[in-house]
Amino acid sequence: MSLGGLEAINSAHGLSVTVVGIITVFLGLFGLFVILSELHKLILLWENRSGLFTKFNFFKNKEPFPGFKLLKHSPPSVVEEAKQLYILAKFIGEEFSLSQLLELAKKRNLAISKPTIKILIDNGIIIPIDKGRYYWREENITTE
Amino acid sequence: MHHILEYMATTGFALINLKYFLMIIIGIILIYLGVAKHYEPLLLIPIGFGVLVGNVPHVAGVNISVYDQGSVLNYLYFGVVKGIYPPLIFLGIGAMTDFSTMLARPILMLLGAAAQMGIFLTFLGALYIGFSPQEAASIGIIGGADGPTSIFLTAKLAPHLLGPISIAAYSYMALVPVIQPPIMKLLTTKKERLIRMEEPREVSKKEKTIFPIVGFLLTTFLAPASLPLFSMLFLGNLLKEAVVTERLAQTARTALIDSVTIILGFTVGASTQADYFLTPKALYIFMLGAFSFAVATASGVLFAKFLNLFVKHKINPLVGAAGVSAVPDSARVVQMVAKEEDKTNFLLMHAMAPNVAGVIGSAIAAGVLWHFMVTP
Repeated sequence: MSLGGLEAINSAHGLSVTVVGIITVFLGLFGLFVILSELHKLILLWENRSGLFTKFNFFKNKEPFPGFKLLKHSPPSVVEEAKQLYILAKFIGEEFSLSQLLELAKKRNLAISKPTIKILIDNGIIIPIDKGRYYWREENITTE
Repeated sequence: MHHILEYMATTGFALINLKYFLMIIIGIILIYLGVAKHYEPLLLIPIGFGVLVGNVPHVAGVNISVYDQGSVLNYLYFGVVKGIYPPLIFLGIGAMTDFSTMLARPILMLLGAAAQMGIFLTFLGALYIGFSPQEAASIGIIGGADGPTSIFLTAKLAPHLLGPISIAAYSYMALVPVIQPPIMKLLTTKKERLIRMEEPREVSKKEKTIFPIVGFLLTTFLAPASLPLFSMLFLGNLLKEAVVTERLAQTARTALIDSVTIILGFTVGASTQADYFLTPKALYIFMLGAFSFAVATASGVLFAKFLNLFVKHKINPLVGAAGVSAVPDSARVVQMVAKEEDKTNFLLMHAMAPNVAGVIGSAIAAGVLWHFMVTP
């Protein structure tokens, strides 16, 4: 064993090694912490990537909801309400009742008028199934 | 008659001295702790028996000890000296470790980083006492509470200290239930020990499968010297999580790790021959090892308290003590201490996060120390 003491620590660059060591260990585990905190979100994004691309696809002028073309001569307020109704309908599921739709709209403070729903039904955008259940027609609707 | 007397003079009975006798007592104590107290029996029993084997007095030239070139034990010891066994053990550890709790609440990983303070402060302490930098680094790593990492680094930097360092590392790991609780209680209030932690979220299979790849790349890019340890740890975990390699994972976590543990423990024990082991240096190593464990435990607990100043969901500071790794014993100790305060508070799952993070942290620390000791 050598003499030791503070001189030994200095000559072996003990403090530098210690500082670099502690920083590296923290950096390594902090890096992992950051990555792992976001990993499940990234996986979720990847799994829903088709929805993500649709959301950020600014260049293609796609229909905001199926049946949009059928309403292009309707007042803008109806089109706007139809957009919101489509999002609500998707949130409820494949099938929904009108009361469910209106209730959800109320919960989210959306002003939806019943005539708009009637227009959607009359234009064949919202299709009745039976027992008061409806579904949103998903296929492309042309004006021809 | 002459031959009988000559032969008798070469037997252990004739050659034994106080040093060998003391070592045999130490070997018996280690076996006793394993068998009767259940302190890390899978390690202490092979090591304890190895200590007995290594301290059977014999005349020079019979070529039987781990230090005799070409002896059977010397060949088995080769895997220790060349650092072959620790990565194989890491493969098994990877294949049996579930990182879910760490993935569910990654912030707990930082406790595993804080607990590595023990390594570096002990490194400074060993330098101060007069150990060479290589020896000091090998002694410091005892605080990582990770036997294979301690052996791996010591084999590279100070192979002459393999015996005392590995015995100290494994003994203290076994004595975690004795060493840690007083420190944990001293540094926490009753109110803190009663903190209940929120349920961890469920972790998807995809996350668990991606983690070993991400973890491997990040840690080895940061500490390339730890590549042998990390490659095996994360490969083992990938084998486990990939499911399609279940057969390989099964072998790694059972037959392979068991075989290597037996040989490693036995040969490390056999390397503690009294002449090499009973030196003033060994005494310092044991003292510094205890200091290292204490500092590591305290750092983890105090850092958890520090984190509580910022986080929304409070962390029970006891969990910080599990950052010293010693998987899964220190996590069990956390559960034990928490249960003394509140029988319905289950911290084991939460403690496993810093516990496995501690394994990663100590391997990074070993890589850093190795880098500094081998580069001019």
